[in-house]
Amino acid sequence: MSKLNRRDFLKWSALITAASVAGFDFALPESLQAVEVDNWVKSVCRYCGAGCGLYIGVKGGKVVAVKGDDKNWNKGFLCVKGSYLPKILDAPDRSKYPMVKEKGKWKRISWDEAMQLMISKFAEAIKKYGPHSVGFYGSGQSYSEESYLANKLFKGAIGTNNIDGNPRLCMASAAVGYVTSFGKDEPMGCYDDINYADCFFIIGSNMSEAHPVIFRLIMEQKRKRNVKIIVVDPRKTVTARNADLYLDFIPGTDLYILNAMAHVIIKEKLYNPDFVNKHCVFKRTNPDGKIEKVTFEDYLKFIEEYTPEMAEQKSGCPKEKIIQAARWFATSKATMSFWCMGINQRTRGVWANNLIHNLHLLTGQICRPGATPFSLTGQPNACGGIRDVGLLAHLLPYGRLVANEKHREEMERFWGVPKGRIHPTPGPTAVELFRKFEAGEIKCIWIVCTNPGQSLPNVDRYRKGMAREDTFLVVSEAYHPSRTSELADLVLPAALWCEKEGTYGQSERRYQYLPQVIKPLGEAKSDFEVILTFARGLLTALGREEEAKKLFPYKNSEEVWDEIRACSKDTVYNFWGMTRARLIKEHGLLWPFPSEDYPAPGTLRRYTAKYGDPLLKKFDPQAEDISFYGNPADGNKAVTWLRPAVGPAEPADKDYPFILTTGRLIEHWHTGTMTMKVPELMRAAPHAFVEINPKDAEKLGIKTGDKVKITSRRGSIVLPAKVVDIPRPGVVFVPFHYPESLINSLVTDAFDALSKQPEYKISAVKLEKA
Amino acid sequence: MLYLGVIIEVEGEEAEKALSALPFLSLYARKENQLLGVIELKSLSEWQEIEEKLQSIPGFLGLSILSSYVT
Repeated sequence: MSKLNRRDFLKWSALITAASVAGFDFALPESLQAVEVDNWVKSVCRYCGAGCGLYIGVKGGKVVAVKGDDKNWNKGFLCVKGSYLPKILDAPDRSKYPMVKEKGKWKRISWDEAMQLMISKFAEAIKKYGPHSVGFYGSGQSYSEESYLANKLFKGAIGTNNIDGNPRLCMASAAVGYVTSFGKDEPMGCYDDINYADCFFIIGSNMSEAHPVIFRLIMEQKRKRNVKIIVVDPRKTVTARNADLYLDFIPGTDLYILNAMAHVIIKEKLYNPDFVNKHCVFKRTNPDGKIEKVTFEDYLKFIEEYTPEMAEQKSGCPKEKIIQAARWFATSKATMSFWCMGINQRTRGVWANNLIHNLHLLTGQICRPGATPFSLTGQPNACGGIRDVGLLAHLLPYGRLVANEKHREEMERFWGVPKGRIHPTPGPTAVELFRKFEAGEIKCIWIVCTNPGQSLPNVDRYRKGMAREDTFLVVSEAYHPSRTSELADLVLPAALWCEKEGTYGQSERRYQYLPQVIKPLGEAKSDFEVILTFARGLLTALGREEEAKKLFPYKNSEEVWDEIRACSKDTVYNFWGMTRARLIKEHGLLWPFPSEDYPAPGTLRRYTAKYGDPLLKKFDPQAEDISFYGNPADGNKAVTWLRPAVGPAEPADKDYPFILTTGRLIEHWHTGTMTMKVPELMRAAPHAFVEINPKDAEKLGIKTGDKVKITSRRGSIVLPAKVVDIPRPGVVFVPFHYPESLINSLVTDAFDALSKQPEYKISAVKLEKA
Repeated sequence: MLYLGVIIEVEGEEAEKALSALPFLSLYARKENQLLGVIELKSLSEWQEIEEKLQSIPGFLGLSILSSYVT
């Protein structure tokens, strides 16, 4: 690439992006891929939860190139962000030294000074106010070994559940959706199902921009087999434009559509009575909050009112489209669903997840190749490092729950800590954690590898809390200043991606190893090393030196990985066989993976003996084939939920007549700390904007480029308008990537009662020409 | 300059030939009736003219802009 002139370079950039958006089977010619390197090292992309395999090209101790791993699931393809990964490593704002804020000014200090300061502050708070005066906010981007250590420290050693992770903001509803429908978290299917599905039901996901390489696989099938694609989304995204059937609707009314699809499936007798009888129970939550088991007949009565006509009236989506979607879903040979933040970031996110699962259960479109409900993941280790490891305020590792006494005892035994050490009450979740920090109840918080000063909803409120002078905020970050590190008292420079080693667990239960390829920049250290040093130092400062040695004896991250494998061994996650050696050798392994000689790539499909789940007979010896063995309380059956359609927390009204929805662009990732260091990506998408439908723009006299003031009940922001036929009338869209335009300051922090995930996707706003 | 990554849908071989002769368009790959290419233009004010030229080609069915890079 370095031999290209600037014009050719931009042309190729446009081309690669277009190819990845459209799922076009296209790669750079060999001549343009030729980059001189000393060696290529197998690794994984740093960005989304898809988990694209890649090779890192190193020359003279520097990363100079990446190329896709053609033996991994992504078949050698990367998206435009992944293609430019080398450029994130030596950005000018990389954090190189520990920095402390003194009288509002940053001062460089040594690592020893930094750790002493941090340990003394946390120890002082614990001694004075008890264990719940400190907290930790982790990340779906940390390696599993790092998150496991932090979880062990806070829950197992300090004895507080004041520990949550940013997947609370993006995946909590999906996780609780799987748990409430199937007993345990994580998808049962895999990317390979794309090769077998002949109907794709994509709801609340702009896959072509947010997960372009997975979307490429779908488009490949579209070209080869003419599969059907249904897209349900209030924005006519590129994903929607590639659909055979596009259902657009008023944000927040999709629960009507999902229930109406179930209504059509029942009315037209398109459901699978044999599957329902064998594998489903039915439940509802009563007004008093109690869960009640009901009958199929009760479900029929419940679903009766959700006619396509009623759904059309509520959602604005034509009934004919709802009926067609239901028919295709039910009658295809195999239907695969995908969803992401449009479903999860909602006050009824768990219910929406349950309703998607309902469609698969009613029709038996599950547990066979191509038939599966598949939640897409936003971050590279949200599944492996947070959901699986249990770095959430209510969780313990591998499906165990804080609130379950037996699970607490299991983990206390496993960690070798006294009975009763793990606090029985789930801790505060992301928004609640920062509310407690804002209120001064939590005195010290450590934020690792994430940027809540930009990404929390209603963010101005929590930024004020983070900036309090009487609390202590530590931020471990690869870049400084970020919108969070600027508020910190202490910033610890973090090694980034291939500057450290560890394990990622991604969307399809795929675990992959990322080796350290180069040295960290400046004095940056891996979060693994820093958490380990802090854990030992803190326990010593609390007079528990022996416990520090016993609980944190590790010499390297492989020893922690071995402990993690052992921790998974007797659970439904069992990946005991995924030794570091196997992970280094293979191109990703899917759990369950119970033995060291278990064949790669592991278990493609769970809950079905016929398609190779190795744990099914262990957990349900009587099962003939399918068993939802994560749910023994319901006889290893899945739950079809009676979930009424309920609207958003903040619908549009006469004062705030538009719905603001936020999301991603293909060029950027999350809060932009990495992608905005890549000049090519910045040139392609340089600043925030507000998408407005042409009909709304005409009424308001707004043209593309005009400055528009967007106001919600929480604040205002001025952005240039992009008048475009993408959002439906009444809806405006703003990307959330841009640090100088904090759109999250306008977004409601109302959250789902079950998952505690905030409703980023729906906030009422008004627009004025600025 | 503006570089637009595009997918163009066409019918027949003749349309591809005619498109490949256009100075502002570079074509790189074809799958069935879809062509992958890049349109290069000085500014968006040229767009109407470009669109008219594309529409006038027999067998041109449609165009989707999938990416844009600006200098």
